[in-house]
Amino acid sequence: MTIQPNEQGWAFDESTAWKLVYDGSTIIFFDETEKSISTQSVLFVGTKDECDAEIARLALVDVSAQGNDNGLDLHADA
Amino acid sequence: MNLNDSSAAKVGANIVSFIASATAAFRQFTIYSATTFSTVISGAFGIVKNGPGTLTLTATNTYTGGTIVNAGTLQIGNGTNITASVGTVTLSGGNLAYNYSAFVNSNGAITLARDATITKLGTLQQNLQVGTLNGGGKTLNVNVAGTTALYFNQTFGTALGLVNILTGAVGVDGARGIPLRDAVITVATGAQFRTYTSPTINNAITLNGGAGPNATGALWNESVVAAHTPIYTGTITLATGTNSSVGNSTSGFTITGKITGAGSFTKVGTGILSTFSTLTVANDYTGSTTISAGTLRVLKPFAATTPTASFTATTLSVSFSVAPTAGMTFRFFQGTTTNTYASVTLVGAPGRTGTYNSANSTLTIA
Repeated sequence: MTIQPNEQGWAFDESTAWKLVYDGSTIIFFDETEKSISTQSVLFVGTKDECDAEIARLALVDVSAQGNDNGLDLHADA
Repeated sequence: MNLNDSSAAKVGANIVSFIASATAAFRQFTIYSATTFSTVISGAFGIVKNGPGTLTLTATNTYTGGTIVNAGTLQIGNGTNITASVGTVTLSGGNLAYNYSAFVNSNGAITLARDATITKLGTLQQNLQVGTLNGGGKTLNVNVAGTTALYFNQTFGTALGLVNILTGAVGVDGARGIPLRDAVITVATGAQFRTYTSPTINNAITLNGGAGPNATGALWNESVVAAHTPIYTGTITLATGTNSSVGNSTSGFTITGKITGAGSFTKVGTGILSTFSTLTVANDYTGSTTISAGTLRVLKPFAATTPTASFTATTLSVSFSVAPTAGMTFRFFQGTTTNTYASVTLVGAPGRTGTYNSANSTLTIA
């Protein structure tokens, strides 16, 4: 479920669960953790399946997984 | 051609392209204007290149005595062939150029007896992947045309003293030899030092600004494999008054050496760049920090906790090893941060909020 922010715009969660933080379409944090989260972005807490479903529903993107492979390997032995 | 010492000596330099002479051990060419040899040179002797003109060899030569370049430039290939070869090259006052018509893992058996320049012509990547590079403490200037790199992948022999990347991109591959190690590297404005796979780069490197070829960075990890992470352990100096980009895509990129100088730093590319400041080796560059793309991850110890800050262009998340208390401030850069962060996420700071001040690059906990 999405944690609603307080009047100052901060959302908090201190449970042990899968936690998803995103801003726009960009994933900021996604992990199972016992650590608290305080965020001014959107905080979603649930099971891994629930988080995965939220990621799919909103087409959230982990930018660190993007690439620019041109398909050529110019480093192999000729 | 009949190589004859006595006749060669009588010929004026201004009316010939080259003068040749022969001994049992070497065939000497004194080149005054650009000359191309396309026939195969073979035999149990070496070649000596003298004179200011460029000598271009385009054949698959098989002579076995090596090549000495005393002056001018010896060019291998003329842009229309891929098999030109010269064997082992010693640069004793002259320079070397490569101009192949296709990507080639080419001959890299090179010894610098004096400071020299190596040039890659043409637009295609070349890998110097055969033989040993003996730097002998000398200075190597490198000019690379186009946006593709000249990779130095030879076996390490002796270290170069200084490598000046003047134009274009120079690369090393962690899966090959890293013959540029131990040398001081200077990357000119707009030029680039790039890596492939996961080399350890121990060089002290000075960056003089710019985003390099293709705007991928003055330092760039070309790999697209996530596990490929070059580790830069030497000091990186950002030259005064410059702004240098550093980039990667899906691969990793780690800098454990100190980042220093009065220049500025820009993260480009979609990947994660990790920098480490320890209590004894703290990054202290004083220019601004900009995150144009991807993530800049900064690990810095403060008192009892070591926050790891992940800066993207619009968001900042900070993970604490020990929960911070209200009023604590954490400074991640000495200069300003160009980005402003309306969205801050704190991990491991129960009940706390934070405000980032871009003017002094500090996070204050409330």
